[in-house]
Amino acid sequence: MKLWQKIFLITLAFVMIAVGVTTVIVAQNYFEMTLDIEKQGATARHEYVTSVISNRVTLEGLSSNELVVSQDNLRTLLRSIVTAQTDEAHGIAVYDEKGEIALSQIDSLNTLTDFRNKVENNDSSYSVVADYSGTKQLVIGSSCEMSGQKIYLYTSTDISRIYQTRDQVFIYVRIIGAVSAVAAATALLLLVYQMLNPLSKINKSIRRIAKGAYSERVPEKGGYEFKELSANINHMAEAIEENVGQLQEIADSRKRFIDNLAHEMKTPLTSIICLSDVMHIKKDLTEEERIEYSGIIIEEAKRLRNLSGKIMELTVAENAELDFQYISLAEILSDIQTAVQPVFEHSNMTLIVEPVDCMIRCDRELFTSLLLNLIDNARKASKEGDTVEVKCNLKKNKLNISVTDHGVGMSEEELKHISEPFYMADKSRSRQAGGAGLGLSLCAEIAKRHQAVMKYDSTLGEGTVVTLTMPTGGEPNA
Amino acid sequence: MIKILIVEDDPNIAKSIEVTTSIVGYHCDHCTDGLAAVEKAMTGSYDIILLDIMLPGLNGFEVIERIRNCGTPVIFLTALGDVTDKIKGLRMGAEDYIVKPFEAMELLARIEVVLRRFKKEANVLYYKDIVVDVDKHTVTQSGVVVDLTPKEFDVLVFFLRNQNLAISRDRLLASVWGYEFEGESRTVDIHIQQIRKKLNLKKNLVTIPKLGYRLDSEVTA
Repeated sequence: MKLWQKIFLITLAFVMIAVGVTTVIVAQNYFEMTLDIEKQGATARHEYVTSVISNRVTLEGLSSNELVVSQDNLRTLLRSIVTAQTDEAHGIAVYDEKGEIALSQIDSLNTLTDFRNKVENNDSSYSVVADYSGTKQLVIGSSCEMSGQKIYLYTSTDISRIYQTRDQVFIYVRIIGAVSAVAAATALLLLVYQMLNPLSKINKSIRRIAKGAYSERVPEKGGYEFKELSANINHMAEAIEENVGQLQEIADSRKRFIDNLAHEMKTPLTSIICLSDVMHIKKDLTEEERIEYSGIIIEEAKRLRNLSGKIMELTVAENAELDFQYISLAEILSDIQTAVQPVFEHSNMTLIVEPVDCMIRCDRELFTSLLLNLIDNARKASKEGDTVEVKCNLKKNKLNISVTDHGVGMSEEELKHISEPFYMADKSRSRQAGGAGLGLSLCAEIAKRHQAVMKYDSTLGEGTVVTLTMPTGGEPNA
Repeated sequence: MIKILIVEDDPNIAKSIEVTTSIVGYHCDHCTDGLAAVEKAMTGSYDIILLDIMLPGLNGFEVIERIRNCGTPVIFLTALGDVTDKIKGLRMGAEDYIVKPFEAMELLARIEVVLRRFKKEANVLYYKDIVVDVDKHTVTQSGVVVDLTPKEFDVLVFFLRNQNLAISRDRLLASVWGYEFEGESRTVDIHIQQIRKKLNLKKNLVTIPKLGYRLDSEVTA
C-alpha cells in the first residue's frame, strides 16, 4: 500500500472513530440526564399522589367520624382518586394485599412481576422503565399504610418521547457522521496529496538522476523534512556529478591519449610499411633509391623508438615509486648546466642559470629530467645567438623556477593545447628535432608528483616563460 | 599518363606514396597544406587526388567540400580509422578511404579501382606483340586471336597493369578470385603456366622464389 493511502486510511479511521464515539457518548449522556430529570419529576409526582391519597383518606376518616376507614370505602375512595389523577401521560395503579383496586394507564404493570414482588416485599420505593406496546413507561412503585391497610401505589410516566429523541439523535449522529466522513475524507485526501506531493517530485528527479541526468537537481520545496531530504539528495547528486565528471574526464583523456598515440604510431608506420613493401616487390632498385628508401625507413623507425621511450618515461613518472630526497637546488642546476652547456655552445646559444640557495624535496632523476625538458624546449624555440635564462626566487616557503627564452613564442590557441599529449606547436620543426609531443605531458606529470605547478606565459614572436612553483624543503643545513 | 595529387603534410609519407605510384608509371604532384591543395585541385589537371585529413590550413573534410565540383575523384588517406570518420569521408564524396598504415600494393589496387570506375584506365593494353582489349575481352598476339579462359584473362590483365612488381600468390588470389576464394595457391600456378604457354611468355613472366611471379616490362625483357 502506498504511503498516502496508508496515511489517508489510518487518519480517516481515527477521525471516524473519534467523531462517532464522541457523539454517541454525548448523546447518551444527554439522554441519561433527561431520563434523570424525568425520574425526579416522576418521583415528585409519585410523592404527590401518595400525599393526595393520604390526605384524602385522612379527610374521609374525619368526615365520616370513623377512626378507620372501611376497606370498601377506602377502595371506592382510591378508585376515584386514581381516576381523577390519571391523564394521558400519567397512569396510576393501586393494590392492596387482596389484589387490584384500581388501575389506569399502567397496563405494563402485569408484566412486571419481579418489580411488583420487590415493591410489595420491601418498604422502599423502586422505579423501572417498562416497555409496553411500543411505548416506554417509567413506573415507580411504593408501599404505604392507609387506615391500617397495606396499600401498594404505582405511578407511571410516559417517557417514550425522550427515547424517540434519543433514537432521533442517533440517526442524526449517523447522518452527520457519514457527511462529515465524506467531507473529512475529501479534505484529508487533498491535504495528504498536497503534503506528499513534493515526494513524488523528488522521486521523479531521482529517477532522472539515476538515468544519468547528473546535473538534475531536486526542487527544495515543501515541508521541513522534504527540504532537508531534497538538500541531501542534491548534495548526493552533486557528489555523483563531480565524480562521474572526473571519471569521464579521465576516460576522455585516456581515449585522447590512445587515439593520439595510435595516430603518432601510424604516421611513421605508414612510411615504413609502404617503402619496405616497395623495396620488397619492385624489380630493379637503383643504389640511390635503396639508400633513400632505407634512410626514410630508419628515420621513421627511430621516431617510433623515440615515441616508445617517451611513453615508458611517462608511465614511470605516473606509476613509479618516487625516491624523494632533500637536495640542494644549486647542485641540481649546476649538474644540468654542465650537461647541456655543450649543446648550447654548439648552436651558439647562451644558457644563464641563477640559482638560489635552498633545499628541495624531490626525486633527483625525475626532477632533473623535468628541468632538462623545459630547458630543451626553450632551446628548440630559440634561434642562434639567443639566450635562455633559468632564474629562481624564494618567497616564503614557495620556490619559483622560471625558464625564459626569447624565441618563436606561442599563440594563445597553442598555449591551450601544449600540455596535451602529442601536441606539437609546430609539427615539422618538432619532428625534425626528434620530438614526439610528449615532453610537456611528462613535465606536467613529474610536476604533479612534486606538488609543483607549471605556468606558461608566451607571446608570439617574443618568447616564452615557463614558471614552476613548488614548496621548498627548507634552508640548506637547516 | 595518370597524374596524381598527393596532399600530405608528413614528407616521408608523401615520398612513400610518390615512390609507390611511380612504379606503375603514375606521375605525382605534392602539396602539404589544405589551401594549396584546393588551389592545385581547382586547375583540374589531376586524374585522382590522395587526401590526408589532418592537415594544416584546411583539414581534408574542408578541402573535399571545396573541390567536390571539379570532378576529380578523391581518395582519403588517413590515420583516422574510426568508422564514423570513414562514413563521413565517403558521404562527403570521397571514392575510397584508406587507413594508414597501408601497404604499397593495397594503395595501387585501390587507386586502380577508382581510375577504372572513372574510365581513366587504359582499356586496351599493349605488351610486346600482345594486344588486350579489356572491354571486348579479347587477346590477340601478332594479330592472331588467343583463346584464354576468363580467369586466365583476368590474371593476364592484372600482370599487365602491375608490370615489374613481384606479385605474391595470395595477392593474386585476392585480386582475381576474390577474398572469399578458398582454393589452393596451386590454382594460381596452373593459370600462370597456361598463360606462359599460350602467349609464349616464359621469359617475361618469371617466378620469384618464395614470393610469387613478376611480369617484366618490355624494355628490360
